[in-house]
Amino acid sequence: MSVRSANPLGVSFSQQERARQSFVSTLRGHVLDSVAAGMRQRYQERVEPAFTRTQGRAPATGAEVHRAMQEDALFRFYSSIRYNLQEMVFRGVIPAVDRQLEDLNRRAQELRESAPGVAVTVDPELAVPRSVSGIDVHLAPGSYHSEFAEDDVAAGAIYDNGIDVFAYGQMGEDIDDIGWTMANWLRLRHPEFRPQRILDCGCTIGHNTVPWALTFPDADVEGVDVGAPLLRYAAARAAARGARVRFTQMDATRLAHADESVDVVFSSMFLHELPLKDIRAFLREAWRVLRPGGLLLNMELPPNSSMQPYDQFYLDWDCYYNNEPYYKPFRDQDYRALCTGAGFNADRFIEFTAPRYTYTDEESFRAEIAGAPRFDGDTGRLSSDIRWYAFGSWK
Amino acid sequence: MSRIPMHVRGSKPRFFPAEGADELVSMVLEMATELWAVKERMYALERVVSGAGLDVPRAIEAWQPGEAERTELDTERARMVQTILRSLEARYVDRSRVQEQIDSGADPVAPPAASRAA
Repeated sequence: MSVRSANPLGVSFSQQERARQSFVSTLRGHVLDSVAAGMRQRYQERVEPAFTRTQGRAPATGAEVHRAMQEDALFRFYSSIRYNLQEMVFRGVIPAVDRQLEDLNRRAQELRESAPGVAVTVDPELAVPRSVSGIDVHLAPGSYHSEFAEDDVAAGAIYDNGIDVFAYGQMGEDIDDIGWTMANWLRLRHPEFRPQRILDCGCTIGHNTVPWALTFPDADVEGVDVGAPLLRYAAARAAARGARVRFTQMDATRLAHADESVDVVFSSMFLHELPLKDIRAFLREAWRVLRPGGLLLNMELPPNSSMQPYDQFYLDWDCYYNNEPYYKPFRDQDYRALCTGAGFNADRFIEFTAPRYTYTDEESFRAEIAGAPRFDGDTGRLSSDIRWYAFGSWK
Repeated sequence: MSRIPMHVRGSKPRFFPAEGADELVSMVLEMATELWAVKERMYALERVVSGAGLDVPRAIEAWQPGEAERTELDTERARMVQTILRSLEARYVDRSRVQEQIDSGADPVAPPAASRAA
């Protein structure tokens, strides 16, 4: 778990709260590394052979692996512990955010007002989609749109401090490795491309937007999301890091931007939270607002068609048990077909895997992104060996 | 009472067929977390008390581990996690074989024939 107590938006936790958070974080790391390795071994040694004995073939899909694993005690413990820890991630930060809410809201406002390059625009008329308001996404009580005070940042503060516990040190010191990895993929792989306008859709607290602003300091960078408390927090967070980013409350399936006005449409861990009709609507909007020669880049979970059945099952766990019901339906799609369905040319489709930029020296990073994408048990699986995946298209 | 809800809307999945097993897992995890919180506080208390005899609770709240102490706590915490979850490690004793051996009258303590031969 990274330590960010110097953060001017920092929530003050008691010693007992800090100790519980450290423990939950360590426990999550152990379950996702050691227990997950044991579960894979259990599948290879027992579950798959037993399935093959009765069916005359090995499981062909993640769903078949899932059904076979549901009878296994190790899967039950893994799942039960992971589910409980996800609840504990949020339960461990909510009381402190609640205690300090007025102070947090005031500090966030001061930070926003202190930075001339930072702005937040909320739209009280915006209809928050049911995919956010209808369920507690990621098992976060209240989901990401609820407000509890004037100029509220609670959902942002809960997310920022919760994901710090959740990530157990694997998503970057400032939970921003995805942003650094994607921005640097573009910088190193396409040095001739100088984006002037970058749009991050479904940006939550802008943790992966900030690296784009710092990597391309001359670009106009904007983050959009449907959650107002996330965006108020995001703007304050960006201000505290010296990044110039505008944040706008907007539904990415109905962008207010003019046709052909943006150079990069970026998203990270966004599409898998959307119903398929919204994914399609967002991709059509991306095509519309991109300039010819512009880039759509979605950092996402890898498609099931590129993964072995066990790895499909492993990643899709969150769909069944982490209140992310659109996760597997998205991963079952042909990502290239999603892009072409929105207007992009099939031969301009891109996909790649990359090691974590902030954990890798630049030469190794450059060498790995020059190669073909690699799909295996470390692709998209949160661990100390994770490799991020992204896809998209040039327009 | 927190203004921000603490409970997730909707029903909770059940992973175990045995009634109460899911709740037991939850209890064990909460207990383990509380135990860790106590252990960490004790650790802090010992360090603080040895330093000065002042306002101990306040001194503990103010205390932050240094780099070496943080490493020590990280190591000890990981050991505790491993201990609590040792029953889930890949090395797994198949108890059904022990039961078969007892029921068949064979000596359940004797190693299996294959390893005896080796």
